[in-house]
Amino acid sequence: MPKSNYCLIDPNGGAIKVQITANNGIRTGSIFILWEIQQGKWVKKEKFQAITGDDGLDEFILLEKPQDIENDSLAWSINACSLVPSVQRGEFTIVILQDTLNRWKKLSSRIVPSCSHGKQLTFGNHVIFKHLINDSLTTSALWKDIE
Amino acid sequence: MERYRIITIIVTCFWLPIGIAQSVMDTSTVSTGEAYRFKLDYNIPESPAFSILEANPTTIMRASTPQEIITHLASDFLSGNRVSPGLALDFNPYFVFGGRLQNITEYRNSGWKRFLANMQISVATINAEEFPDDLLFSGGLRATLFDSKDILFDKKLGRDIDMALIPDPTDDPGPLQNNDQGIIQSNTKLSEAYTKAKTRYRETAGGSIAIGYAIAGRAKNISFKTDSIVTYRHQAWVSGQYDMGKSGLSINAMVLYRYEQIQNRDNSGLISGISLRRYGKKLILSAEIYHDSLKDAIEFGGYAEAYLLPNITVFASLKKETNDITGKEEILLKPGIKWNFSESQ
Repeated sequence: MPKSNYCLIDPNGGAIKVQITANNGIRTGSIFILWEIQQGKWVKKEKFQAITGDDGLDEFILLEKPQDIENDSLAWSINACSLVPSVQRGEFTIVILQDTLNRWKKLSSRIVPSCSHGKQLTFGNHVIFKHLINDSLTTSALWKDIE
Repeated sequence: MERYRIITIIVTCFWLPIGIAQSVMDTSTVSTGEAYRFKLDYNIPESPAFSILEANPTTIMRASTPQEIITHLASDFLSGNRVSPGLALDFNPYFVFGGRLQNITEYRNSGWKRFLANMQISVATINAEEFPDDLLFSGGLRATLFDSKDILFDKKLGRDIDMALIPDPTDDPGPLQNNDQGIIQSNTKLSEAYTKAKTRYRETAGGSIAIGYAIAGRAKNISFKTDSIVTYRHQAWVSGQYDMGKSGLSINAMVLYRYEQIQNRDNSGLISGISLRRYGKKLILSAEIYHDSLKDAIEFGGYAEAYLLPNITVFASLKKETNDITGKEEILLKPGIKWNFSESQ
């Protein structure tokens, strides 16, 4: 069973934005899929394509509202290669943002083959969304809800 | 002295089979084996460190943007000429020592970053007849000031690579995707993108300008004690290149200032000349003529460079030169090999 990453989001907050970056002139092409468990089975809800291109950055916004994606999984697969002949390593980041707040971030430094060699690095992972408990609630208010 | 000559030959012979083995391994799969053909490595500039040791097959140097990490081997196995087996390694110091580039847009917009990314440091060592008891070594620095055919400005290549990198729809990541380590795979679409880029590169007219500096020294009696090491030559140069496009013809011009101290005599002067190159798909032919004011002579030669094996370029030049020691005119054959070291992964 693979170890999961968890991203805490505010169910009442704004839309979820996903950002991918690659430095050193490394080019990437990727697929992101939002999965949801329905009756015990994983079902695709949304699919996005991201290309970091000349600027080394791409982003997209999930269509689902934050309150509807608890326990959903956002999975990705990224292909990357180096365009600059002398570059063999670069840094990649995947950031999940909500209302300009950085909710989750993964940074990795990787050795990447040169595009001119006809080779690519393929890697991927997933993150599961969880709702934040509203931290403005007092303890007595929580007990009141239970009673 | 002969002992060191043999060691150098062994080193040379050690590198060559590794390079060939690498090439054979690369051809074991179709997609990887094909990839070498699409590289833009047919316009690799000469090694600055070899230039000052006169181990390059040509005198007039190219001005194009350097590529990756290149190992140059010089040999006189066939000719028995003055320059003995030697080895040069060219690399980019900026990225090797941790320099970073934000993205390709930064490379295109920042002249300073482009200057650093295209800098080339070169180190070399050879044995030579001029100093039979000493080991010659050199270091050089080369920078491309301008290159209108820089591959990183090819936006079409960037778009083609982006399209090639989009994962196949049948490979959608599963909900619990976990491939964080990553794997390196062949992608034939990338090779196709470079095939098109290579054709565009060859058929596009454009120019480039480069400058360089190199210093050569010798370890007396092959001793590396401080008082045994002396520098005997400095040189600085500017070279220009203009490719005419579809004809495959290219004109190069170079002016080089050299100062040297040989046998307690100071000597300095200019070496200036032009060369004409014809770029084919797997063969480059060129002819050069230049004036050497240090010898007060006009020299000329021909050069051929062939791509017979993946990652390995075999070359040879035939040139008329004036011998530094005897002062006589000689016809020299200089064969050599360039190995694209960066493909060793």
